[in-house]
Amino acid sequence: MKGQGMRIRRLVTELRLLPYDPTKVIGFLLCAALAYLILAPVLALLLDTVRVNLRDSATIGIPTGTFTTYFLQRTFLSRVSEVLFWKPFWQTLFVAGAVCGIAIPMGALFAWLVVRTDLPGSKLVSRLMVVPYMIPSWTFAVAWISVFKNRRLGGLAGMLETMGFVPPDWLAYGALPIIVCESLHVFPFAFLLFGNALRSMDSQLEESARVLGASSFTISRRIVLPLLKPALLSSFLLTFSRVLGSFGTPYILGSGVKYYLLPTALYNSYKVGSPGVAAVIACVTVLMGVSLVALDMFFVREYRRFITLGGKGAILRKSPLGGLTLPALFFTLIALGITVLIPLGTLVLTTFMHRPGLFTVENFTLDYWIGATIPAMVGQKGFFLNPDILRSLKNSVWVAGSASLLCGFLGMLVGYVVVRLPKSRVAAYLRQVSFLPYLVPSIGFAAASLSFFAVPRGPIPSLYGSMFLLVLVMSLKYLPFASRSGITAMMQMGNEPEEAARVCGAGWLRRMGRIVLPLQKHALLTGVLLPLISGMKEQSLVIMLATPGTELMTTQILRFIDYGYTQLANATVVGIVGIIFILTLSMERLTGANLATGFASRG
Amino acid sequence: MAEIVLKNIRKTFGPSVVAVDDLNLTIQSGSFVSLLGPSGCGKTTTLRMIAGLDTPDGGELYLDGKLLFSESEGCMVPTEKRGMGLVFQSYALWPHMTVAQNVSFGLEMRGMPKEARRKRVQEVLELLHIDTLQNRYPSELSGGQQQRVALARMLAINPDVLLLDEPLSNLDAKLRLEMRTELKRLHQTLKNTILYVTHDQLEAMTLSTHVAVMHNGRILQYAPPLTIYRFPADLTVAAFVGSPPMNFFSRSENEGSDVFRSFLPLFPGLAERVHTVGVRPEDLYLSPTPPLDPWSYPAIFETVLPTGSDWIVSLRVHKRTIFLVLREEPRIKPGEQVWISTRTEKLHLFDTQQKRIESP
Amino acid sequence: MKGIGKKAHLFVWALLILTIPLIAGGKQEVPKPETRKGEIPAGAGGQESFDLNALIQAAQKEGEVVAYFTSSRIKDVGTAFEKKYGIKVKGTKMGDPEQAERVIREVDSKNVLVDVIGFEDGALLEGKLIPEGYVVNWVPPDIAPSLSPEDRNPLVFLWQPRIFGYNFESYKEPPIKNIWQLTEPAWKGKILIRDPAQTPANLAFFANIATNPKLLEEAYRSYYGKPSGISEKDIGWEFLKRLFQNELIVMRSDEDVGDAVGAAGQKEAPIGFYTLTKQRDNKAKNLKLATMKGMVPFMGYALPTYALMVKNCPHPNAAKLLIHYILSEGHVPWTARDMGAFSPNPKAPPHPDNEGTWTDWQKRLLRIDNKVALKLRQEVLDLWLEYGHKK
Ligand SMILES: Nc1ncnc2c1ncn2[C@@H]1O[C@H](COP(=O)(O)OP(=O)(O)OP(=O)(O)O)[C@@H](O)[C@H]1O
Ligand SMILES: [Mg+2]
Repeated sequence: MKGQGMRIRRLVTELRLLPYDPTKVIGFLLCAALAYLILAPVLALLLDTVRVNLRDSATIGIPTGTFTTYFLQRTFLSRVSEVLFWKPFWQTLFVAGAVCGIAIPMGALFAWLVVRTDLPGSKLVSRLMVVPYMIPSWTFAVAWISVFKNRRLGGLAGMLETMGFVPPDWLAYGALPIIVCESLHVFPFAFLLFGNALRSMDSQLEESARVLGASSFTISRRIVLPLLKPALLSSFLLTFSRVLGSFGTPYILGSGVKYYLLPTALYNSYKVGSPGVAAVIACVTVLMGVSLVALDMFFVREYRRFITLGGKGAILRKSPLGGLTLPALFFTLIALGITVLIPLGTLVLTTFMHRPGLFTVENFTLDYWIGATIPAMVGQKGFFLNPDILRSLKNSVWVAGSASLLCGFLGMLVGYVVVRLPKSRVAAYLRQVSFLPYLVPSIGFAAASLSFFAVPRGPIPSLYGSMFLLVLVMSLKYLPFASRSGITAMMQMGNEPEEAARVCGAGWLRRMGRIVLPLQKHALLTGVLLPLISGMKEQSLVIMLATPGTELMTTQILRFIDYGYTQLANATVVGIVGIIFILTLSMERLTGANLATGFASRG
Repeated sequence: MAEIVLKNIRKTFGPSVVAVDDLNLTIQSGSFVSLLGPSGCGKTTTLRMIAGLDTPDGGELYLDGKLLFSESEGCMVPTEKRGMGLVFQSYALWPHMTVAQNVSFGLEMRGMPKEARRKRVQEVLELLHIDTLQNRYPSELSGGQQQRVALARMLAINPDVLLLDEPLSNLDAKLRLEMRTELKRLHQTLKNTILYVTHDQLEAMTLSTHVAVMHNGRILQYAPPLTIYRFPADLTVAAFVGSPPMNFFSRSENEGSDVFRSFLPLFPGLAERVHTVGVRPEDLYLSPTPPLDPWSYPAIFETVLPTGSDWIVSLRVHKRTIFLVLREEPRIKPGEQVWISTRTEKLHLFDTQQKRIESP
Repeated sequence: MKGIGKKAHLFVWALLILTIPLIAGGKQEVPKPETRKGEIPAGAGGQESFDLNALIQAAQKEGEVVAYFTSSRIKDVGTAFEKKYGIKVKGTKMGDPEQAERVIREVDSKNVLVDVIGFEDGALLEGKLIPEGYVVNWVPPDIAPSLSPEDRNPLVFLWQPRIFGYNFESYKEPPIKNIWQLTEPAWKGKILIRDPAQTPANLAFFANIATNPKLLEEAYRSYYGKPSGISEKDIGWEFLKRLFQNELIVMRSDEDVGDAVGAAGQKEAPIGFYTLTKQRDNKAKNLKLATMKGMVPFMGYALPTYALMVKNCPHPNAAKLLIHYILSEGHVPWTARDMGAFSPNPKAPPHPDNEGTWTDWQKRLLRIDNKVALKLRQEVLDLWLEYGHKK
């Protein structure tokens, strides 16, 4: 009895103190909100794998809401599971493996050239190297298809075909182009990771080995390679999870020849009207995502011992390239050209041609940018007049803008609560749950949210087809980054500035407005701008959620590609890339942050 | 003006860390009290509980007879309403505000009109000799200047109670001395109650009217500085206060027990009770030949550390090292045999409970 | 530290359990039919009196109407409709699965945004949307008598032949005379079709082929000159299997199929399965498309587009007026301006390039039975997934 009285009294005291320090209430509200917005959809997705969905019930003749193993069986064990799941699954593994095989050596080689040799202009090269990662991943696919497309997909001919060479199917679609395009996009990852590893590796380590009489070969095998192992493993896992999460490239390059990867297989199942199977596939991607991150964490922990090595006196000695300088430089320039200039240049070029690849004067046109009508596309207008594009631009800005604000704000709140209530259950829970979306591949996360929020729940109406759903899902998907940076920023600030204000008699709102927010301005700006940039180029996450009317620029591109409106698709890609460059540059100006490194840092 | 009373205050962090344990302390109005103790003994925690930034787990806290906190009554006055001043160890200046803005913030929170605020800020800054820095940002100030601004920020609201958490620990030696003088001057003019946290005994001894020596979350002794130095209430206090530290010879100690036994004839009635004998380095004398003092003991001269004003001498007695402070340079070479001696009234005696035994 | 971790887990689980009722709470109620205030009652059968003027007035009061149609021409119709009645049409082109999803979601969440759908997936319509009350079949009583009964329930506003066609520059005469030819190695990888998996109507077509063994057997005998030897039960499925194994090439739209088949300057062009309307592009895009005249036993199927009101739609009168309009003079953008589509209303003048009237066409086409389609669709889809995706 006495204990209970005490507890009640303590509660009353706490309640009375709330207006002065509502951190706990905010914490609990955040916990509840994130449980509802992140945990519940993921659970609902799990449930969807064993419960008959509204749309499935019509086709399979089982009433909605019945529990069943039908979807699991259909996905894994039926006569169609080969097509629905197993083939895409193995193909995903194959593509991911192949991309690793190309992107990692490529990244490592350039990292070595830039960090460890006296390659001229290495600063500039290392800045340019990350550009392919900055531009959206599917840019390469769109460029590829504009060049290599053949009759098979119908619509406008590709550039090569117009120029008289008909690319065979294996060159135009399927595994090869997907692997090439994904590799071009992800190799900067490996470049950054290896660059950092090489930079922090003391040349004296090698030199000591040399002094002890080791040959170059022995040195690379016994000293250098083992030290690069963490970078290697991390690149490997990151590349894998990239491939697992990317939708645009396999959609654009694979659908025509029915070459599906898990993200496109999931999307197909959903579009065909079997959300149950889609949920099963989504769960598989979630599982794979979780295991990749778990593996990564394991390796990071395993190799933490190595990290202290780059001590104070570390010296970075650059090997002279000597006679190889020119060839190396030439090679680097070519690689930069292939990875950046040629794809973007092709895209820009096609938007000025009626028939891409036909180089005659009358074939050049500005119609696709400013034409009020386009002869070959009934009812379409040029980029700047096209209502579909303009609306999607507006939507993109609106969605990415609101999502990034919401995300930055949520991230800061999470950071605030976690740092203010250290070692509490609330903090531990917030850390974990706000990290969860990182484990779930975009398309799986979208599928979860869609199936959860498409139905009215309590006070929340059905969000299906609403812009708000896009905003919500996007801000949650980016929350891991925002909350991590929120936590770091709050940690750096510490409690004392706020406590000093408390002592001076400032209430919570005043402290927030006058002390915490102004001090977090910088972090908040980064926390908003990063998601804004990612949001502008996001495709995998929104493809399931965008509907006519809530089409974003990135999904509009896919629609244009579907309709065969090559030039409009390409013009839109160019538009997005332009916007992203501007945003990135202004962000670097505003915050002084180097985006390349910002993006590569994980979680 | 402002008397602070802590009764049975207790604070734990998690199941195993007891930061403050059953603490009782009365801080008289207008006094300058130092909380002295080794790192991690709970000084900051005590200060934060007085300021209201941490909530005690139990006990009571009064300011001028008014209840600030009571576990049993369910009372907790929030920080904002306590009107105390607190200067953090790291200063915690707001980097996005100028010196003037930092100082006027508290006044603003009290709804003081702008003009009055400006005047008061000017006043306080002048008091601390930093009125020329008004428009600078904290990052443009030196450590000592930042320290003054942090102090000015709290002085501006003219708090009855000023809590200072190791405010000088980030300064170099010269500045520290300067600021100590400043603090003492301020206390003499303003006459508010000051609770000063430090682990620097010199600071505590020189500044305070009273010193509270803390250890493991408890207060071991609460007395004026000289009393603490001359009559340490227990072994820990004796060991903590004074530099170089007091030399101890204990009954249970193997190396020291011969020496310890040699002391016994000096206090015949207490021989049974005494467990440890302590003697301060400056109370030991050195002579090349056996002296006539009631107690002396042979030792081997090891090294000498000249500080400029004194000479700290280390000697080997049996297998252990003891320290001496000499006012003059010793004319002895390392390895030579010497004799140490002291006077009976200079000995500190402690019982098995480590408590001081008052000499007869 | 360990203790804290454990407690954190307990806490997470507690929250998880708390969220379960929220997840499970997403109920899907079937809305009860009701007549609402201000809706002009006018029955489906045309028995009641029907006052077009009253409908126009009521519709004009509502001011706008929202329509999802499978055809982008809804935009042109909307412009004309607005010109005539001053009622704004918010028309969006949308595929069948998406329309169905939206209508179901909107009705279930009692937040209906759309008034009229132009829908091609008859199986889903008759199997779910109508019986479960998501949409309402309304036939304009003044037009009803002139419609053939099977076009009234559900109401068809547009008929299109979806047919096999070829490139007449590439082939002197129709290269396919008999449907069994499609299963022969000569055409392996040369037949283009809009992805059946994402085109319910094409699945319905295949399902109806499976249930027409007599036609297939007859065609077999006339082509190969001998009986197939396959049982009546299996012959349809056998045909489909052979067809799917012949590496059909899947495209995203009929337009893509038409473009790829009809492109000028091809030798041995592929053949394709597309809606006849695509042949209107012969001029604009310089295509060389022609229909597979005389193909046995049919050239393709009759693809209906249905027009229905959504239950509890926000503008019921404007919705009715729009349906009335597209069945009378409003069909122009579909049927009169270009070739390839027919109004079920016989009074509507057909396009001269149509190679005959709708009655003529019906003889060349298989008519879809929606019940069959509903029943066999999944099986056909599985067959397609199984054989259509093997290389
Ligand atoms: N927020 C906290 N969570 C857990 N333990 C804490 C916390 N704050 C203090 N402690 C622990 O309480 C004890 C007392 O800490 P306190 O900060 O009061 O020491 P201090 O005397 O101020 O030390 P220092 O001289 O190093 O500042 C220490 O053991 C410390 O580790
Ligand atoms: Mg401290």
